[in-house]
Amino acid sequence: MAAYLLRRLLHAVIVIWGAATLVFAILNFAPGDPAVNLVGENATEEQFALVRHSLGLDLPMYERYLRYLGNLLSGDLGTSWFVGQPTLDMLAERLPDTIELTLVAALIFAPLAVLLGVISAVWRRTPLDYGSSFVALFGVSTPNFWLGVMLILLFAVELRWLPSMGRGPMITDAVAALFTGDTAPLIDWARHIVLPAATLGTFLMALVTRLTRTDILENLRRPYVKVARAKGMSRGGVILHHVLPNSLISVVTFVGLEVGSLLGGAVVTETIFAWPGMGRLMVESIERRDYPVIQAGVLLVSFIFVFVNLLVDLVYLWLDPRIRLK
Amino acid sequence: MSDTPAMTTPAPRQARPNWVAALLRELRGNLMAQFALLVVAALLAMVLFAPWIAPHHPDTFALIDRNKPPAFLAGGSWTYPLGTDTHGRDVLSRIIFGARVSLGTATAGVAIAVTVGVTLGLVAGFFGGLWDTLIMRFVDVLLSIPIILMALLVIAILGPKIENIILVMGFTGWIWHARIVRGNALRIREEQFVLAARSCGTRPLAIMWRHVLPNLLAPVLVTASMQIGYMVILESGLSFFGITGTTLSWGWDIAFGRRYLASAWWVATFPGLAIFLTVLAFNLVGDLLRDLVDPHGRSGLT
Repeated sequence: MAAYLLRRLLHAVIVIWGAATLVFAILNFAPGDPAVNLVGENATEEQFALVRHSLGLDLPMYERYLRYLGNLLSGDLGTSWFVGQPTLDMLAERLPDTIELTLVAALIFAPLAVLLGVISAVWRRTPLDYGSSFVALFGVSTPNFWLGVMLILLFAVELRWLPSMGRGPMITDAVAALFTGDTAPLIDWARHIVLPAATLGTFLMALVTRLTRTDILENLRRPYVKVARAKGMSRGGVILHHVLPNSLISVVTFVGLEVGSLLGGAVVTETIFAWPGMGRLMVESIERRDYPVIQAGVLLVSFIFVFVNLLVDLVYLWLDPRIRLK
Repeated sequence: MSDTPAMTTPAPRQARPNWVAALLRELRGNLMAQFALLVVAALLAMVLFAPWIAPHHPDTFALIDRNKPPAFLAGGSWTYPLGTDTHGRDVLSRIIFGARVSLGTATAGVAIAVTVGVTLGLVAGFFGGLWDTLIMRFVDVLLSIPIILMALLVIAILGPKIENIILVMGFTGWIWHARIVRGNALRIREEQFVLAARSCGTRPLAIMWRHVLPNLLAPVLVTASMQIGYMVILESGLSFFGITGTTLSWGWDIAFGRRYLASAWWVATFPGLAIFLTVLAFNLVGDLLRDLVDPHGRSGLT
């Protein structure tokens, strides 16, 4: 087991190193000199050289790469060219909002999707099945930014039930207020997060619904189902106690692998709903060509992806006796 | 997209003449698949004949006819079936012309993705060893970076041009095909006919080309069809940010119409509907292809 753990950790480190190298390569082998952006077109030759020197752009490539890796190892992800703040601080300030949005989306829509998938599989080829399949197909075929715009049109512009942008109070404050008997902040929080979470979660819901349905149908053909049925267990009991736990393993793995696309979706969703998260910071940085922030953001997302999937694997390690006892 | 017409035309004599029959059999009673093929045909017509189909020029400002609602609403007219935007441009014509950009970009991107992915997947699966490790670790790296972020990063550097969008699609999308091809190549490598070919002294490249590749065609086609849908969404997402170097695409229209939701909801709504139908159709075509080539597989269950 220790060997397995070690191999898994090594793999995670390799992937993150690979992502860091890839981002470095894209930024440094691309045509054009980033210093031009900084000093402007009308700068003198000296100013230009000075900026190049201060950014380390006059060093040979391999030295820049080694420096970059060294800085990464010491937790230095560079300084924003535009704001002059360390990129890590800027990202850390915005990250909680993105995680909050992503978590709420996943925690509402993944369980809902499992439910739809189970319904679909149990009542196969009934209107219930076709209904959930349609929801799933709708979800994979809809661009989430359009879905967001349509939700705003319906719930904010036409019905005027929900706000179209911004976030409510911090969730921690809202929960704290709840203890003093004040529910208003929590309701305000929920009213702000429901549309962005729906925009972000629909795609995930669609994929998980399909996955759950196929997985349950596949499991139902396994011998253990027959044995359980032969012993007198009801069909519902078999699904609830034997099939579903097995399918949940696939679902959790899958959601882990979709963390990347959730974070990618957050970039778009945050832009539409003016949600003050990391995604919006990325878009702003791209608009003003703030390379260090973009670079650090991409790395952070890659790191979160690898970390979450490592976590998923560790949970298995703990759940699955076949791995645990080896 | 070019796969569909090839499948409906009669196949060459020796190359599996039962394909057409199988397709027709599969289509009969399958309303969803019929609908999907119809949408794909309509899209193809839009791409090829946009100037002749579209009632107006997509960029003509008709300031008198600004913010006209669609024909089925009060105040609308059939001159502008789906209404006009705030500059008086015809929404329908913009959708028809936008299909060229959205679908063209996606198809070109997928073509690169398939070429790169199949090649690298074959190398990884067939040669194994160091090649396999290197390629699959690279796949893991790309998997850890969301495509949209990668696209934003690359376009921020290379500049907002359609060519760059296609490039990004190709060089991020190949991992879909590489993983599938590798898995299949690993399996096919051990099949009797490959062993037989090898024992006859056939060179590895020839084996790959003649024996392994034809067996991979089906799964790659299925994935490619679904990927076109995915790339249409990606392209529209990028043009939503206004970074595709064109102002005539479905995503751009949604981004533009978003500002006028309260006064002219149709500007953002209909291009989105076009994307939805397109992606839905390509997903369904993917399902159809999968059922055709693998009737007893996973899909046989459903």
